[in-house]
Amino acid sequence: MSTLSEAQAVEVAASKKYKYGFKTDIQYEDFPKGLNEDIIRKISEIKGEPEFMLEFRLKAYKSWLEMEEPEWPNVEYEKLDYQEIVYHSQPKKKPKLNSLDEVDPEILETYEKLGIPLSEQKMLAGVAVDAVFDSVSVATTFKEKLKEAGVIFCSMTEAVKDYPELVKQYLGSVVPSSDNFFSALNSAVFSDGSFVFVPKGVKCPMELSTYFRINNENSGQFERTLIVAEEGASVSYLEGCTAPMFDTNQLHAAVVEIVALDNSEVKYSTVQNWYPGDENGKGGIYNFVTKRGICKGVNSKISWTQVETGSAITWKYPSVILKGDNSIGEFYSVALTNDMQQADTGTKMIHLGKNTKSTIVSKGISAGKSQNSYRGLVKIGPKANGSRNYSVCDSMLIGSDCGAHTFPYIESKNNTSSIEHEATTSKIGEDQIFYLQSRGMSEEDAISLIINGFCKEVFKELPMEFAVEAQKLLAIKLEGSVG
Amino acid sequence: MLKIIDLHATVEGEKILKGINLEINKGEVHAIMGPNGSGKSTLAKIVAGHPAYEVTGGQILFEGEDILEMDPDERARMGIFLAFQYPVEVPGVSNSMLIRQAVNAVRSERGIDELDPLEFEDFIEEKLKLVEMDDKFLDRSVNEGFSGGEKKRNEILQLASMEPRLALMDETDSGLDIDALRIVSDAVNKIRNSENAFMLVTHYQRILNYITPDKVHVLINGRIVKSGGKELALQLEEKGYDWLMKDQLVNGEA
Amino acid sequence: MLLELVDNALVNTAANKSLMSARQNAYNQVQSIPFPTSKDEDWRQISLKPLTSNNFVAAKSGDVTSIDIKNYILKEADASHIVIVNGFYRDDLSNVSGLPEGCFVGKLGDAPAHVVEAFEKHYSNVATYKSDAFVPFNTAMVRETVIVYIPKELKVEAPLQILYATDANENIFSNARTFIFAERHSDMTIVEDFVGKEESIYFMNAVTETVLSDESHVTHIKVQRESTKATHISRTASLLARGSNYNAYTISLGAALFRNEPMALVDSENAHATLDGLVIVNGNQVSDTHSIMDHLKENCTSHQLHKVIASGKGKSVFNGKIFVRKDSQLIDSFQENRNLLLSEKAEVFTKPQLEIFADDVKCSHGATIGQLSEDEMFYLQSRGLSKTTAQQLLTYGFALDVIENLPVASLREKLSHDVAELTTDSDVEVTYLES
Repeated sequence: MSTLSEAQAVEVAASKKYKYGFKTDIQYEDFPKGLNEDIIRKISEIKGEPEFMLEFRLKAYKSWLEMEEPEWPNVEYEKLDYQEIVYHSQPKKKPKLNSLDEVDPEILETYEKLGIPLSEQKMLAGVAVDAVFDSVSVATTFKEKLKEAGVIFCSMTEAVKDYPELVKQYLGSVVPSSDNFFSALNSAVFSDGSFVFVPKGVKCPMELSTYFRINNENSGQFERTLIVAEEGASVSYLEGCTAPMFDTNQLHAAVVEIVALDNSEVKYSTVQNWYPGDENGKGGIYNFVTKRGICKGVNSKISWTQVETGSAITWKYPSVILKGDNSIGEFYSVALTNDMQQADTGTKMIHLGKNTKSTIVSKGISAGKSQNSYRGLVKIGPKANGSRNYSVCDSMLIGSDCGAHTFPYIESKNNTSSIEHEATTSKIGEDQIFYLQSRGMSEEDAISLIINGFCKEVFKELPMEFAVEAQKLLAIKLEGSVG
Repeated sequence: MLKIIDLHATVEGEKILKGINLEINKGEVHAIMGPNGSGKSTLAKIVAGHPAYEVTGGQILFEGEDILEMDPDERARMGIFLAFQYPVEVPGVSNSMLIRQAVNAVRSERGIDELDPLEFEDFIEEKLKLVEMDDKFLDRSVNEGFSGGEKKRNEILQLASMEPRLALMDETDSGLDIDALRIVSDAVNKIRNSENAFMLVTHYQRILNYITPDKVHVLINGRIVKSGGKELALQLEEKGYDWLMKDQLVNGEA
Repeated sequence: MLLELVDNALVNTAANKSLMSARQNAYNQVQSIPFPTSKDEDWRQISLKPLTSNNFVAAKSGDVTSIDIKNYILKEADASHIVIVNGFYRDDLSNVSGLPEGCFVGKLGDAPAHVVEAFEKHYSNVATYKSDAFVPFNTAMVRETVIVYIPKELKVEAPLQILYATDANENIFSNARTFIFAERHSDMTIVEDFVGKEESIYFMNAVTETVLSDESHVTHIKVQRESTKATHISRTASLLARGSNYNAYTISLGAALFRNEPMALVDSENAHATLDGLVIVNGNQVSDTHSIMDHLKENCTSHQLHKVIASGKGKSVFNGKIFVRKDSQLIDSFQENRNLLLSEKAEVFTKPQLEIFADDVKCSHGATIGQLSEDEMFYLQSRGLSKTTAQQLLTYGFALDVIENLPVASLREKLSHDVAELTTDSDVEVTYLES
């Protein structure tokens, strides 16, 4: 194995701006590489899943076999050999954990190092965390307190066992297993993820958060998240992700589904910082993710906020289907690419119900030799009377070797609705840098300030701690990329 | 305080400054006057360290130290302040954040404790009064959507806050109506003391009715062609620049 | 489909040797390039059924039977027009006597040597559309290319009108081909005008290539007012040299299916390109514009305003690409697409795209789909105008900022009327002010 020892890795990471690049040495129980029906049966069996889940997986696997990896994104990469991936990997310890004390101390230490303290007494007030290590959820905090409020927040594996009816009702209802190549693969092999259910009229009393970590070199990570907000419910959910530095490319193919019923509201925030590969484009995560929410009920609202700074390749379009009348969809995104990173990300807003509204704010920053694309679809159907969309997509270029691309798809079949889209691409302002420098700021601080100003509309959508974290992250990522 | 010796500079290969000599001592106000394109704004920007200009010869000494190799932010922290002719808009960055960072950058350089947000509030309140600005300006993005006069007042607010040793004012008077000019001038007069110095770059002598200069220099075609007291400015007001340009031509030919 | 229509005998007629080899090359391409399908990303939004379901036949003659050619000739082009009917060049209906000396407009066979030289150098090298066979089909099959040559240092005052008319009793297809070469410091306005017999079904395949030498100015207006049952496939490509200025305006009023692909290759410094368009779709009309503005060198500017008025069951597609290639710094490019969606069944698809590979640039685009402003409607109605009149006025105003840039007065006037007629079903008389 070409993996670095932990100490080496931390050292390298410190010198190389990716500070999460260490690997934790833990014993793994791995499946053999490759994918076939037996592997899927085994995943299902090991998790003790009911029959309907196995059927769900096998059906997805069958449709996946007939699908081809998409070619249309504006990214270039060496295609993966799907038979070289380990489809299930879990830390070797007791499979069932009753409390945090039983979690492998190595894993807990890893989360501490990442700045995600799991021990409840140290928790930031009001944030409940589910931690997914490689493919398995290792700990969920504040479960009891949430239960009192009626909120279910647990790992997907537990949800399948404890709430099979809810899972059966909603899983795959927003992203059908045959939706696309990667979602089909995920549906066949997903190992864990988070499940959130907020019942009628309940405002979730704290922020919910999942922390994803890929640790094992050859394993793919296929988590599955399902969030359901019943009538009048509301919840805010955060996710963060990191991975060690490996020379090989690892696959992260997650699926997130959100269902919002009448008058409910779901806010989903992501700070994505998977390992982006080195400056020559070696290694890094392939982040091929399907995220979609449906505003099923009237007056419901789904809001996606993402800060994408990591991954070698990002392919991701968090979307909202606006089915209920007066429903609202939002997408706020900052995507930063540096070195050899490539990102093709954006959103889809599908207006079906009357008086539906959507807002898209996308800020792309390209530096180094990276390529950064916004791709988005706004579609207003013939029955979506009185609907509105407003989109603004700005790109900033830092250095002359990178590229910025904007591909909005705008379609309207309704003559009482309106769509407004604006996009700009420009260079980071030299006169702005000089102005700030003449007020005593270093060049790097000036750039960081300008970038933060550029992204402000998005950052203000993030919960406080996340916003601060995101700003710091951008500054670190851009270090040394100007001049 | 500031000593410029035989300064030559170009921008994109074109010679703008052709041998400037100038000395400004603490407690002094110097006016640099000249027609459009004479190089007077360039001079101010070069002292502040604008990267677009290339210094091809000569020296700039500030407090005895050669500053030509220094970045603009180093110069700012040393106490050189440029009030821009066209203040730049910085979307998304609030004015108060900029000013607090700027003030703290200067303070930490001077070994004074940095201001926390609460202390800053008290600090800036005083300064706002000086330029007769509303505190709502603090919450807005830097110069974004400001009127011309508001931008210039904002420059003076920054000047007052950063308490520079040398303030370079690049056509601060241009585009100001009479009231705004009075506010700006009053503020400058209050800031002016025996320890700091001002270099006023201006086309017209109008502002000099409010801020009395110790010395007036006329810059034409990249050279200082005449220096004198405040009465020189009045002379220019009356006669324009033509008589000096003719002189310069004769000298140039000789 | 194109393959079935290719006629080997026609391919092998050409005025000179280099044209012959161009035709034969093109013929080979028609054999090998597949016909587009709705699965191709670039053809996803429209149906090519009007092309595939009609059995088009080659036009047999250029006889005029039912349309009045004179009626179409612009006042300003009285002595500077060329007429092509069904792909046949009509010397007898053309008149270029008003063009200044040195300026050549005509057939390759009649062209002087220096014009032939320019033609041979650039012909088929500008319209480099590779994804389908419409251009090769045109190159292989066109009966006559209209060559326009503007000598250096010459400003041609009168606009040149090239009228491509289709008039037949069968479902015919024909090819139109224009080659424009502007020498250094020249200046000319060219109007390509496409008309057809009302209600007739035909297929027009048009290709225009424009080569601009240093500091030349060309204003290129394409007016598409075909029969509302026609299919018109159009490629207009331009190559810009240093300091040149290419201003193109496409006015799309007719055709059941119009597919237009303007492409400006801004291949030298300090050049400027404009690619404006006005599209009006009504009834079952489909108008699809796929444009490319490609900046290959530094210090260039470009502008694109594409306006669409969609009513009835009309459908408009706009796909506008702006490219800024690596190291093409200091590009200032602006693209704006405004769509008025006026009826319940009309549809608008738009996809403005920016692909930027250089950092010191200022590029932006905007796209809107919407209706007439309620406030403006109310304002006009409160001044006593009927709803229809108010609608008509505002729609006209919406279209106006494309029309008013056209440098030919009679064309502006004519189009203003056409727009007014197309944007209302009522008989309300409105007097429009000439801008």
